[in-house]
Amino acid sequence: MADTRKVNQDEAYLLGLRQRDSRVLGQIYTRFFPMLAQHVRQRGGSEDDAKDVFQDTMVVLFRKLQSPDFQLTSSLGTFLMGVGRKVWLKKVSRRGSHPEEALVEVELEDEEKIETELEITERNRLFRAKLLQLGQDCQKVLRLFFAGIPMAQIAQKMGFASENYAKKRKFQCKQKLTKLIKEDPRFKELTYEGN
Amino acid sequence: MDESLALTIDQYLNGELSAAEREAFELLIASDPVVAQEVSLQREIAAAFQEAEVEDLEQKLAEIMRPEGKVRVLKINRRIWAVAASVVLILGMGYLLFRNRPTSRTPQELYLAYADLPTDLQMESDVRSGQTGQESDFRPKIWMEVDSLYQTKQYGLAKEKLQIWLVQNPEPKANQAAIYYYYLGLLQLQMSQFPAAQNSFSRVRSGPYAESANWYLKLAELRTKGTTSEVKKGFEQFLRFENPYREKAKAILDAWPEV
Repeated sequence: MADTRKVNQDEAYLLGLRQRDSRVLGQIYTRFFPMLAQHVRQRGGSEDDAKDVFQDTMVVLFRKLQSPDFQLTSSLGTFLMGVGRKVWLKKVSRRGSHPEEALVEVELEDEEKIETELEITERNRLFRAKLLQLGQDCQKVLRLFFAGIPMAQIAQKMGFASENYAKKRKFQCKQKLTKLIKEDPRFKELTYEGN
Repeated sequence: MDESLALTIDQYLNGELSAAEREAFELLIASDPVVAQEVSLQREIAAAFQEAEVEDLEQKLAEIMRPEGKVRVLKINRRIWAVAASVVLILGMGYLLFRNRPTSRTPQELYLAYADLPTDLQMESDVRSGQTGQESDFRPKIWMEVDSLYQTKQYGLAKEKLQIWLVQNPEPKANQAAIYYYYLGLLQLQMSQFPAAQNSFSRVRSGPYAESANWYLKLAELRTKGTTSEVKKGFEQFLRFENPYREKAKAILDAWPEV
């Protein structure tokens, strides 16, 4: 009976996460963050580190939920702690310190896919963060371009003289963004990690 | 990487090359790993801006975890902030920055972070029946239907069903009335009907639901009255004795905005 209740509650949490329901996200945070934070703090991490880990863990789970064949084979708490530990160990190993537990000791079902989701999560966030370092104009042009808006419309929205100028501007902005990304030390860590 | 190659990659990814140019470029990609890596990076960059749902989730999580700031960006940014904070500290304002608590949480944010409403009414009741030795089957069957609707988030329908029961049973027993108002309050909270929820919870004054009703009453008051000293005192009550809400009350009070 108790297990059934737990499953029902986990399902409600997963539904809320899938729908990005702020209220449910708050509940998941209240319920599971203290456990994860304790784990991180006991291993030398800060409160901020714990929040980073929690955020990455939630995004990884959210990505997994997009896959129609994904099924949670453990309780949500077990899954979050498993992924959270993995996320934390990766961060620690990047900082050059030796984790107390070897990465291989954290066993997760679907391990490889989770690793991939985590890499995509961190990489995409880095790319988006770098966009914020560009000027407002560039940010806007690139956002419109990546959203698939035709260049003629971008020119119009941005008040550019021609479509050709819009193309040129977009190219320059992309170049700037690419440069910022490549110069960021985290980019190398993310690119060559595990190679 | 030279600019003409970057331009070709851009045109290739945007489908702006002719068939012959595309074919030639694909041969180059196949033979030159540096070019292949560059094309792959440009694809990855584009993909990072095509996941609006993830961005939305990150934004919401950031608001819950760091209501004073925005989405987590980068460690390097935090370092910049740390430097800025040090300067401010030197200026004698360290006190303001180093308090280990958020200072700008609104009542809504506090509510969002700590209102852990049950996802299942049946479980709520079973727990209490177990605690008090009451038989759980005294609950009318119609309430089971209310619970099913609650679990599937059909709060409006659940509330209507619950209210029909009261119309049919205008003089409920005290224990049933307590559960009725407790359930009604939870449904109203779920629908963000805070004044109504406040009214419902305040009618559960004794019995196994009183403590929880009082907790949710305080949460409803947080939304109707804000972070006033009166509402704060309400949460402080939970620190004075052993109860399931003590830790949550402590967390809310820790995050309570400064006057």
